[in-house]
Amino acid sequence: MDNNYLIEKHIQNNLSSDEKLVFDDLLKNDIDFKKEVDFHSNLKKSIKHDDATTFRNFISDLENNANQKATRKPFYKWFAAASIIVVLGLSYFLIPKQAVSTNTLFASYFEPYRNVVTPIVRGENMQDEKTLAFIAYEKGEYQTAIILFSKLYSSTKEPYYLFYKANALLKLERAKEAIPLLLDHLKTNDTLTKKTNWYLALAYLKIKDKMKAKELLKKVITTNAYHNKEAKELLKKID
Amino acid sequence: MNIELIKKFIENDPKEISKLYYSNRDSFLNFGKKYGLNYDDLTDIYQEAFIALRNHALNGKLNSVKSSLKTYLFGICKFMIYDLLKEKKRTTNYEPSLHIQDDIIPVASASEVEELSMEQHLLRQFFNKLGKKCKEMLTLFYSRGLSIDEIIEFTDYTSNSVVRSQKSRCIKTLREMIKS
Repeated sequence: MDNNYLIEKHIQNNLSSDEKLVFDDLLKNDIDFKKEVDFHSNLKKSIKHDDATTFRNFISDLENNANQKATRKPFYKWFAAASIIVVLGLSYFLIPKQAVSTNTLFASYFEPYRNVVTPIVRGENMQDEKTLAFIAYEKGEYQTAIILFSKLYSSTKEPYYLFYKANALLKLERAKEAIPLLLDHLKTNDTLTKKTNWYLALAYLKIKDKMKAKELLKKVITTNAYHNKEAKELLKKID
Repeated sequence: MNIELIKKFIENDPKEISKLYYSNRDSFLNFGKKYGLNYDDLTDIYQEAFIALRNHALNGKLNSVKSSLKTYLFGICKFMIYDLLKEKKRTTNYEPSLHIQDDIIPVASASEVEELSMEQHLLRQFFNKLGKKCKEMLTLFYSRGLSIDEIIEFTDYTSNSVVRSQKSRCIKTLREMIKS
């Protein structure tokens, strides 16, 4: 049997049981064969990863387009919106001013982003580090999660660990440490980066840098990114 | 499920994919409203479910599914809604309307992208430096699971031997990049 043929069928998960016997035997006893199999398996993983990421980004673009269309509302709605603004404007003079602290605003708007990387599946006990990290995150054990995310980031360089570590830090009110991570995350082309500006805005709010917070909220609104409705609300509340 | 639908995922023509994506989006957002989830949650779920659907199409799971695309896609969405509600409340009461049909067995983690080792990262970078034809060919073979004969069906190549030699030429180029 041709070795290349065997590898090809192995890559497609298509070996018959007889072929599988020959394949396993070669894998055990022939170093060159094993090298070749490793090469093709690695290639498969890399290309699958590439294909999946490209598709994910494409879908995310489709969603953003739909989102933008949905926010173009007919004229009469603008009219309604305008009259609400007039009323709100008037109430500014009528209702005594209440200064809301940046801290309170942060607390009422911040919620750690949910785990979309490794959905924890019931009854499956995969106890690898990645799963443990996200279990800790979901359970609210942020200290543990932070340690595991840092470790995983340095070994894999997957950008989403930056994002989740920053979220955990924010929850523990360590915004100063979260900011550089979020800035790094923005430079990657991870699918979660569309959500980063929102969290970065909150992080700046937490350290009382209102200028930067406002700037980022405006960015969230103009790019129609994640939580743009909340961003509009929050922007109004920051004095 | 209709074989033509599965082919659309393998071909990955942006126009066709966006048609499929948009054709059920609005009705899902409407359907999802009653679970008290906000717009961002629902669009997140729809995206994830659509990606899971594609994975099922590529790994052959859809071949034996009898329900329509919409039913199947909504099935995946329901699983995800259930998980999210559970996560939000920790304990959600059993929601009878979320009861799931028997022939749908999606796993939430199906949409997960596997992490790459350093070596695989490098391979991916080299792969991206290849020409368009090579990338297409290798993607069909390694990622979308097509056999050499099936590749003929999806491309302009006319024979088994042409596909084979083109594929080995692409791999050779890739190996040369790695060496240098």
